[in-house]
Amino acid sequence: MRSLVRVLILAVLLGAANVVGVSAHAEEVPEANPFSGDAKAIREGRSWFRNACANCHGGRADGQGERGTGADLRKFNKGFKDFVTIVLDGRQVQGRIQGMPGWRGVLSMEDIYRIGAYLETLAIEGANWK
Amino acid sequence: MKHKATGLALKSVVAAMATAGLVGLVQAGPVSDAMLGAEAGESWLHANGNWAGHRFSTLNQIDNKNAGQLKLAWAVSTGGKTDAMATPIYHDGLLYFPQDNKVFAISADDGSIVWKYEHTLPEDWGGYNVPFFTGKHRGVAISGDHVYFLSNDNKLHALHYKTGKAKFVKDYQDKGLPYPKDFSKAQDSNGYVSTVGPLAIPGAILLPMNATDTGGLPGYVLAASPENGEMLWKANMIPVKGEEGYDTWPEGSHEYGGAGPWIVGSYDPELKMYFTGTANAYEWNPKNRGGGEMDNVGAASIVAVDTTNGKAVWRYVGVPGDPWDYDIPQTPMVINIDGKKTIVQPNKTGYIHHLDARTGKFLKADKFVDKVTWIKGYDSNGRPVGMVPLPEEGGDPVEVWPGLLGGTNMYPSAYNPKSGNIHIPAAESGMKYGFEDIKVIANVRHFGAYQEFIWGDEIDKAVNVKTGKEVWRDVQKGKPGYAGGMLTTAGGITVYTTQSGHFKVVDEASGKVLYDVKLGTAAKSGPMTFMHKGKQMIVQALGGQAQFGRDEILKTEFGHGIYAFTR
Repeated sequence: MRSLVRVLILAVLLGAANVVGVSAHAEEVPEANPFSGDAKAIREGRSWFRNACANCHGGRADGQGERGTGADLRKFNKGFKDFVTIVLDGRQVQGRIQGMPGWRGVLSMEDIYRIGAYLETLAIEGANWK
Repeated sequence: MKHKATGLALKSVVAAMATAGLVGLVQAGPVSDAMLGAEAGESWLHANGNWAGHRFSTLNQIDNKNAGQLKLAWAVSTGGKTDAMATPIYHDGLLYFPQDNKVFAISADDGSIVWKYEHTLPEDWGGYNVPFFTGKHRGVAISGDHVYFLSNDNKLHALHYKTGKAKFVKDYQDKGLPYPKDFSKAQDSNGYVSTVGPLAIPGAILLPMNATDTGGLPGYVLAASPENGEMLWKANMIPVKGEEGYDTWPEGSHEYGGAGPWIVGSYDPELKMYFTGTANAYEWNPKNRGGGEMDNVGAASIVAVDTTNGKAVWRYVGVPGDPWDYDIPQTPMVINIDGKKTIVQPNKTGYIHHLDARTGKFLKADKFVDKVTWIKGYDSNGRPVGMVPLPEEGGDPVEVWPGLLGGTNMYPSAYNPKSGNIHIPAAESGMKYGFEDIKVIANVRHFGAYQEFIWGDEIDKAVNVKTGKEVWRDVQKGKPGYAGGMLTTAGGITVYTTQSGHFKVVDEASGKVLYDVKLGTAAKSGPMTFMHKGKQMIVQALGGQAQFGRDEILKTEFGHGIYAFTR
């Protein structure tokens, strides 16, 4: 009986989430990166990037990592919210084993924003973080 | 987990082989210890050709006078979805090739897939480095009636060489070798990934458990019974208490120190010793393992193991304290030089190390790339001298040459005993390298370091083993990366495929290009050769992602293929 109640509560919550347009995973992602330009957050984001991302994306974020080929993040142009979604869900490359793992439940939302704030500082022509 | 082998018209292939007169050749039937100990010629039974890791064939039907007449005999694709890293082996009419946790038996007649064996990884397989490693294998072994395959989740599969039917599948998790698990769900997602192929020696199949920097683990080589896969011994690359070198690590750091045995390794039947090159110390940032001041023996080392008991006989550390992620994961070739059994290893440091095979005593280190800045050289005891100061954590990165991809990488070199030349898939490249604080998630320790590559040219070259002098070089101008590995033969030829997919046959002595055809995608494995129905064939497997995304420069794309050439 208790489990049925839990299922019902969950269903209501998910339904509510859909109504307000939040993703199915119920992360509340702000429209803009709250850490943009925040020096302390950028420093911490850089540290996370160099630990968790640079293996594939390279120390320069140019897509030349020791562990293969990530996207060139200096040119990232999909905007902040898509950046967060990609980090959470990862990316599969059709026909290949190697892709980007999802970081949902591994990195905190704040640390993902901090990584984004750092990457904004590396942006080159054509990049879009809005 | 599912395992299945599919027989594809096996009977007709066997019948065709019998008709052609193959049955009854010395090299047909089960593989004996004597066959395993022979030089590569009619067959190619080890990933690197012979136990000594020479990648040399005694065949001379294709030679430096007729190599220009090579023709494509056949091509086949395994549909690979990541890098093809294995050198195929050949026995009794069939080639054996692992890819994406499958093993393919391929007819040397026409490239037909005769049987295929598939292994499914566990459902909770995962972790952030796992997409990089999954599906890569650097070889299979053969002994008796069976082909031995080590899947990414560290299981040994014994497959009948004619049918692919599994005699056993052995798991070593209960020996302290977990596989990595999905880090968003598991409390402890750290685990071993095997990407190296096994080596068959008399009475044992040696299993290098290599990918230790998926979160920080100590490297081991296991010996398994060919009959049932039971573990015979487990050799630790990092010294345990009581062994020499234990005190070169801070207390507690041994257990996450890395040192994965990254290559198939070599074996000497007289010494009964196995030799391997080990990966970097972990974490990359050395702050928890002595800050570069302690030697961290066992990591970035050549380790010799007594195969009668699994004990390390000696360990030579090529990069003490390994602060550069150099590791020295290259095949330690066993070469007789002036009557002395010598370990010769061209490696990431930019030097060819020579050690006494019996004792590990350092003999010399010959520089083989043009630009080396991380040290000024090695002293007479084999210790680096004049190393550049390490970067400060969080500070600016430091430029060093070679970069962490090395003067040469894991792609195997070859040795030609007729000329005394070593053939090396080398490159000139550097890096900027910096340290960060170390993050830990789900018991996965991250690198705490990062690199910015400085690309240079791929340079394939021959170096005389005795003098250390370069004999010739083939510069792939403006094209970074490494050839997939080298083959050299008694016919006076050396064969390699460049990172940009050019299959080249050159004169072994002069480097003169005798045959060059672009195969269209990147090479990450070396060529091999064998005799089939009276004709020498050269086979090159290639495919995957061009070195670190350099498709644009190399004018290639992701692809896969196995190509057989003959006259």
